[in-house]
Amino acid sequence: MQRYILRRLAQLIPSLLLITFLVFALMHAIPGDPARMMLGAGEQLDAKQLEIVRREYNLDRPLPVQYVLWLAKAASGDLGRSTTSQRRVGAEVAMRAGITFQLGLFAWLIGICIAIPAGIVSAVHRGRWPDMLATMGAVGAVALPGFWLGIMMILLFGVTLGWLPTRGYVPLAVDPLESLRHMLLPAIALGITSSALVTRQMRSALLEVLAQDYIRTARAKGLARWAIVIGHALRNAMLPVITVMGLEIGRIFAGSVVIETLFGIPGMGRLMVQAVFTRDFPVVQGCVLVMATAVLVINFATDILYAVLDPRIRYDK
Amino acid sequence: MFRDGTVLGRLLRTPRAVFGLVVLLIVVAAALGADWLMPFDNEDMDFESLLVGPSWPHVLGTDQLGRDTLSRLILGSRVALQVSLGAVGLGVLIGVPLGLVSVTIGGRIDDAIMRVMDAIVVFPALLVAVALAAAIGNSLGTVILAIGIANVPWLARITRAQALALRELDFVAAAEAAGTTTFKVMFRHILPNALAPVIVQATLGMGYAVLAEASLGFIGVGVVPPTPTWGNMLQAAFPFLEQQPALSVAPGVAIFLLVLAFNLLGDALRDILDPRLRGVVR
Amino acid sequence: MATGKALKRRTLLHSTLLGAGASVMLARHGRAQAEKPQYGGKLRVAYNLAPGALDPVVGRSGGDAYYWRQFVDQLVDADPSLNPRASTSLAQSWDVSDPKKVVLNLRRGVKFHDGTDFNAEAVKFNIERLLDPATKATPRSAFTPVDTVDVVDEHIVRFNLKRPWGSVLSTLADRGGAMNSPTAVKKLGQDYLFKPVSTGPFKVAEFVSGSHVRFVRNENYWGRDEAGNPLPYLDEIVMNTVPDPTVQVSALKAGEMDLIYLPYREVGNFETNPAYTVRKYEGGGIAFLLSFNVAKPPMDNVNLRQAIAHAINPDVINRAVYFGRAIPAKSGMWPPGAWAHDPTVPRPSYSVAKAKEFLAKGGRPNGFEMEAVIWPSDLNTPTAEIVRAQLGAIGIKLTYKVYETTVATEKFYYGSDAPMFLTSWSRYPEPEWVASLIYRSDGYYNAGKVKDDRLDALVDSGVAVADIPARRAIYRKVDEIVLGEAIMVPMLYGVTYAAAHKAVQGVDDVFGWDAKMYLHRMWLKKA
Repeated sequence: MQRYILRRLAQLIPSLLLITFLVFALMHAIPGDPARMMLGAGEQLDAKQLEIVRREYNLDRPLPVQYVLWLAKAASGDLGRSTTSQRRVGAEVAMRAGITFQLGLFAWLIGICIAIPAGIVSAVHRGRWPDMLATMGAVGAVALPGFWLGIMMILLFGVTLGWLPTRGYVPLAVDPLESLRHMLLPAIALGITSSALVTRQMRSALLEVLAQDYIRTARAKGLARWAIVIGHALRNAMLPVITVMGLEIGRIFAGSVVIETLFGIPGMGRLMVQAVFTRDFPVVQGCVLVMATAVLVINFATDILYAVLDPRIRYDK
Repeated sequence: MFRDGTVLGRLLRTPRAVFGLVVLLIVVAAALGADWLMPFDNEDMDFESLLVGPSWPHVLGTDQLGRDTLSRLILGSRVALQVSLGAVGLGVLIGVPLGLVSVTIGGRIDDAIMRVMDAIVVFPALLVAVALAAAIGNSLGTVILAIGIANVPWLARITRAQALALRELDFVAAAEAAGTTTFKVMFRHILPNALAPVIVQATLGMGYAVLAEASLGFIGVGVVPPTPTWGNMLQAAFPFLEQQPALSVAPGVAIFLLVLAFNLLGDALRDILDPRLRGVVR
Repeated sequence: MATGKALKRRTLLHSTLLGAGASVMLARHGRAQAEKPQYGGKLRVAYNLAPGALDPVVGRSGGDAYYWRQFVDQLVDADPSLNPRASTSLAQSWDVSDPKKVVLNLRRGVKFHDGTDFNAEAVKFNIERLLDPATKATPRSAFTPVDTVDVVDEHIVRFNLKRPWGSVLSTLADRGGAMNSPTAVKKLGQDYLFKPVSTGPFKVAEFVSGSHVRFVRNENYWGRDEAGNPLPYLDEIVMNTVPDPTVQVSALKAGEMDLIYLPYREVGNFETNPAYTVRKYEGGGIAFLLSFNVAKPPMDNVNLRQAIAHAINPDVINRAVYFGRAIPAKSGMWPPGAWAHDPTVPRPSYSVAKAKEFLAKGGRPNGFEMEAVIWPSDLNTPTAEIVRAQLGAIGIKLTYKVYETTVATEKFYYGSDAPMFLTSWSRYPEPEWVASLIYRSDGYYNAGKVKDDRLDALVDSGVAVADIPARRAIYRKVDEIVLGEAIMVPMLYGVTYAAAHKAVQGVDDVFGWDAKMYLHRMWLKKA
């Protein structure tokens, strides 16, 4: 088991290198002089300052050298300073990432809290009205643009009913209740698609398990239907569901940019988009590093969990 | 499998597929016939009726500049279809050969290609779009390119999985034994048989492309004015959510219906073409 | 740029400057504080941009001033018309009579927040720090006339100039005139960026990136109000960074904020609501305009530029996009209220007939196709659509290239990407800042880098004298050329609107001279 984990962990590194290099190359493929962008287009351009900035940020070196220099520093925990805010990228990204993680986690939890029960009910009552309802809901939710659902919720709960704050962000540490109230609508908007996909996965996985012999045997022995589902079927049905749940975290991250823009949440998605526009390379790199690491680590954790739950997976292969 | 004509026949006997087809036909008709169907010119500004609600003659109301929402919605269907066809087309053109080549060559190259695919999946399509927009400016092309790139890994993975499975089958082995070159085998024997999941994935990918265009339009990265798209219509409507909610409702419903249509069609196709695919395809 | 003409021998006394255009704002100041201000309380303000840095000299965002204004004093402060105002300045008097030097007589007994003395040595340190390219100071290029700085005595400092510097006092009223504690700068190094130490009425207590900056009262502040009461009145200011104006508005309504600047679409709602004080400021702020690259066809043709100028109807744009709250441009770029403003030089008026006439004169009677650059925003995008329609009416077919703001700016002015750019500019009351950047042949905002000897000479002579009426006449001539030849087309002058809860007092003073928040004299009236 340990060897398996180590080997999987080691596999993360080339992926991370590849992703950060791709981003680095992409960012530098954008025409426009980052030193000029940094000093602010126009008014403050000054040849001597440009030269100093180019040297300070290694912009005068060849691209691969720049990447290696960045990598060496990043490996020692120094992500450099933002070219626009001039703050340490590590601190800046950590703060923003914290907000996005909070939102993403909340969205994911809401999604799962809807999806797992809905999927179970749907499978247990296969073909009857709860199943129809859940299935139709899931099909509809997948087609729903999350941000548009957000707009409609702002209209209903914010503008019309006035029940919930519709925009802005309150740190969890400042006021936990307000923080959650502010996060509720964005989290639903962000989690809705995932919720639908997990529901479908849960339903089909459970149906498959319920059709198997040992369940029929248990049934024949007279065990109650719910007892069978919870006691026997669920555990086995969870395997593919966990995979999907893991994948959904990536989707949630990708969707966070739009949802953060819509609800005025100062998260990492917005920081990254802004940084791309202003050619703030260190910040873009920092964001991508955090985001990619998060997604890869979650995929990794999913695999490990899968391995733990499924005795058929051999660790030594 | 298409030649025997049963796929369409079976689709027409599946209610959700029929729903999907009908919606898709309406959207296609709107896109092709926009010039005749639009009650107003999409650029006509009526400064006497700004932000009016649904009423006659503006059935779905007007926007901030007094332009007719229905007309813009109809014209917006063009971009929706262009983006979905363009992005998925790009994804298929790159992804499918990549999947086949990966299997054919195998070994390290296969590993490398799949690693790159994994990396692209992690990489949000949005970031690519934003970077492209920063580099070459907003345009329909940038949107198609960015969403197309995001489609590539899914199509490559599915093609690869399918090709790997097919290669074990007898008729392929027979062809190989008969001395047919590997690439010929790939494209002649494996590709046609691997198409079913690709078609399913492509149909679903079109729905995803419509959603992605809307998101990009909403954050202001996308098709340039005055071309209306459902995404940039939502963006322009948002500041006036309180004054004129109807403006925010219509494009959202249009997006929802078109994505739903693609998804239902994709689901139905999957059931018809290959029931085993359930759960494999995204 | 170095060959300036001899500076006329005239002493620039601040008291003689309160001339044309200043009356509006003076009236405001005169009316101020009929009531006795109450001390204490916390003011919560929202603004949409985060600070680039809190160190005023190094920050690069146009939004920085909203933050540093609250905790700095400037060598020379200015009233809302940008006339130097000694009573609130760190220099209590100055002499700019010699074109070779500027002498500042500093206020006595002023201390930085860290307890160190503010004196001539500190000024020398600050100016030299700014001139050192390694500091990467934002206003460095504006200070290039300075050769050396001499400490004459403890409280008198002298700038020795390389060339005449007619705009020195206005320049000292902006970033570069903000004074930082030399001790703190040396001690903190890079960390100083976000832990600034100055002499102003408030001190920085806390900076949380992406969230807020908290300022607390400087108990030892030297400033007094007109009645002799010590300033400031407030105990605390929290400046929140809230990027979305809609969020700001709902926060104000919910009582989470006390004061914000309003988006145009909300002004009407607040003006009619008795719970709020709404004030507007027509000077400063920004102008929305069409900028041309006069070296790039077809905009190298003066007649075609004039055709465009006449085809634009700013009234329609104002009504549809700005809810009638901006001002359709009638003249050039000098904002109303500033001394340079001269409304008698007209902008080409809206007339389709004239536009068509100029098209014919320019050899393109049936119009032409052209590309234009825009950057998207909820004001710019609809404006661009109207401009496209209005130009379409005379046969000019526009296609837009859309980039994000900084990219668009760089592509148009540096990359010669298109002949026309729909954008907005800060309208600084000091005409030199705008003129040298836009109209000089080496100015960044001169997209074609076109050399026009008349304009170069005028811009140079504008800083060669310090006398306001003389400078006013020069900038009038600049306007005549620029508007007459349609080198750019102003469309609308932005108006800044502030809204505050009724308890907030001193809202009249919030705009300063550049419409960036100035909270030194705010106070809260207890219910």
